[in-house]
Amino acid sequence: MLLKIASDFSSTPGPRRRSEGNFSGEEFRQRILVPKLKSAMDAGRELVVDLDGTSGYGTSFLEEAFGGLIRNNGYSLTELQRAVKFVSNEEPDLLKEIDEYMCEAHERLSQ
Amino acid sequence: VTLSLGMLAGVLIGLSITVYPGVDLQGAITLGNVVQAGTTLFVGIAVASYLQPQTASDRKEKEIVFRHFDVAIDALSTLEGSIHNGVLVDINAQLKKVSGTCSAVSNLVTELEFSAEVTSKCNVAELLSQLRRLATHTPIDATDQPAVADATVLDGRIRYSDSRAALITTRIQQTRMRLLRAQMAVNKA
Repeated sequence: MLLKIASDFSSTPGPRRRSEGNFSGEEFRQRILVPKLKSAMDAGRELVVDLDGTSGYGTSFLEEAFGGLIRNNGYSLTELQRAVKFVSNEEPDLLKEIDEYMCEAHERLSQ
Repeated sequence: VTLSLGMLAGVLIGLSITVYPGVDLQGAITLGNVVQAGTTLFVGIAVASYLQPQTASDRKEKEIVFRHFDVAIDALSTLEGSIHNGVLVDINAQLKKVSGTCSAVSNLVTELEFSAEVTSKCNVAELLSQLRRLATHTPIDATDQPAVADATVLDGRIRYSDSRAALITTRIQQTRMRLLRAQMAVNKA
């Protein structure tokens, strides 16, 4: 199952929280990511998140969207690593960054 | 001009030999001498014709790398302006442009088989990752690290504390200097 942020959400991702401006990471997670992830997991399929095609991401957007899955939505790190695959041909470094945010969120919860 | 000068020099040398015949060729030239002279001439022409396109190709490749360096350095300057204005979407866009161009430079020097030293100087990914974090990270909650908590966002605009803004400026200057040094390294290679 494919989730392309540029077409399914916005080509101009914004800040961390809804209260901070349009197209926030929080809005993306709550309105788009969690429902898609849930239906992919229910169907036993992998969710492919395509990061290409946007004007660029701030670290807070990515942290809130993907780290927030662990912090706010109760998903485990291993569950996400198994169920979600990220694609970024334009900025391959983002993949490592997202992995770090999910690991950091996992560590924070473990403490 | 070169051709004309060459012809003129040829005529002058010819005249001087006619007036002062200093070389007596009678009986001095063997078949071996002719073969040796022919071989020397052939090798000279072959080496020149091989080296000329090679040098032109190297110069062309470096020009392509330099053009990418220029775009990256320009994008860094635009990023400074975006950070001053604080519109988060613009900052993200400029960071993506800088990152994309720098990664293109890095890929190019690897593909063009520059030395490991030059390739390593052209890799600024770590600096850019730090810059991205400094320019766009806002606190997760009140317990987030104080070092990065001094930025707030309202209506899509980010405002930095003076210390955070100074850190961002320093990091941009460091990145620019690294790119200039990398450009010099490519030029010397």
